[in-house]
Amino acid sequence: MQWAEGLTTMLGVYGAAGAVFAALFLWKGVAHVDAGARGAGIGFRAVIAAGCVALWPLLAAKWVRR
Amino acid sequence: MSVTYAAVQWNRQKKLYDSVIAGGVALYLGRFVGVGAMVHPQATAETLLIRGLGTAAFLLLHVVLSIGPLTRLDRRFLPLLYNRRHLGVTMFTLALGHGVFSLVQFHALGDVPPLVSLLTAPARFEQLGLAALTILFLMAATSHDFWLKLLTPPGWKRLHMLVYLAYALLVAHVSLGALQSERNPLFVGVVLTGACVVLGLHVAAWGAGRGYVEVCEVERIGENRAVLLKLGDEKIAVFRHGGKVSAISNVCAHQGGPLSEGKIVDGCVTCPWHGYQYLPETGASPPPFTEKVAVYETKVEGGKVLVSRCAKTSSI
Repeated sequence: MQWAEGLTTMLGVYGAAGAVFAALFLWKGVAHVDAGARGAGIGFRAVIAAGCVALWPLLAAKWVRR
Repeated sequence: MSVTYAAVQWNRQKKLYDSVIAGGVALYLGRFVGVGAMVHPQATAETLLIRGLGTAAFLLLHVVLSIGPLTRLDRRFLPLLYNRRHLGVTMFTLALGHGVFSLVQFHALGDVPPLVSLLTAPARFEQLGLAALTILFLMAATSHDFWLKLLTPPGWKRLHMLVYLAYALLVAHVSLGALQSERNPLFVGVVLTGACVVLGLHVAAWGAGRGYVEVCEVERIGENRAVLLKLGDEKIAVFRHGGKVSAISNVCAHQGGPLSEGKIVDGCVTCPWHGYQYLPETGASPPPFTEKVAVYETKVEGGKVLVSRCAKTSSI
């Protein structure tokens, strides 16, 4: 039981951090990481939002490198 | 130069494709719940919906997995391939609905948080389903071209090949779950048939993709020159050089120049348009350049040049 509680807590923290990061990334970062996102609409940002939450460490690394 | 992304690059074909998917799913769910209510009058609407969503997702996964080999066996299936991502996202949405409704119905009423209850449930089939759903989520979430570019095509493909692991997990999920409560041999037969169809199509496509196609007599290819081979939509440049024969994609990675109209200069295939070069054996540009084109197996038998139907390495 403890391992499951620990795992869900970790997932919650990871997801919450990802949600905060995704909001920032979709607002400012995405156009720096990919020029194709410059001027892209809200629909595009909504479509990639879930992936941004899930893969935020990867995106953060790409953003920092730019 | 780049194109600005859109949520979906809509065209008439995509709209038609998505309409057929949405109509098919709605029809299936409506009939499943309707017939289910008649056959199992004691079943609640939630239970019927959970089963309907689960079977629809599982069925759609079979279609998704079958499209690839079907197009390799018969190019008339290609229109199904063009919008396979939409089919995959629809399948994930159905699977997510199945998972969420199941979580609420079976794990939300106790003292333990629903996800903890699921993870520690003695019936392991639910955890298998959760693992498969996680994979399907990652695939659906990264289905946009933005992710294809970000992860690079090989990385994106590696991630999306996890669909086979998800399928194996789901077969186990169904076998240890639904097939244990529904003892009807018909359901076992349906699951087995589905697995056999998916496996059989992959084996058949693999078999059809193997083997070689005859190009011409080796003397017909001038030294350091090429002939063009068309294999369906693929164009292959077959070069003869230094007593060897090599075959690479005809399309230059720079601006799509026709490599078969070029020649081998200093041991490299040289594009006639801008002089981009590729090693004929590997398809890679000589260092420090990083372009690469697909390479095909070749052999000479009885004076005739043969080229493999499938590329040995892909373009990157």
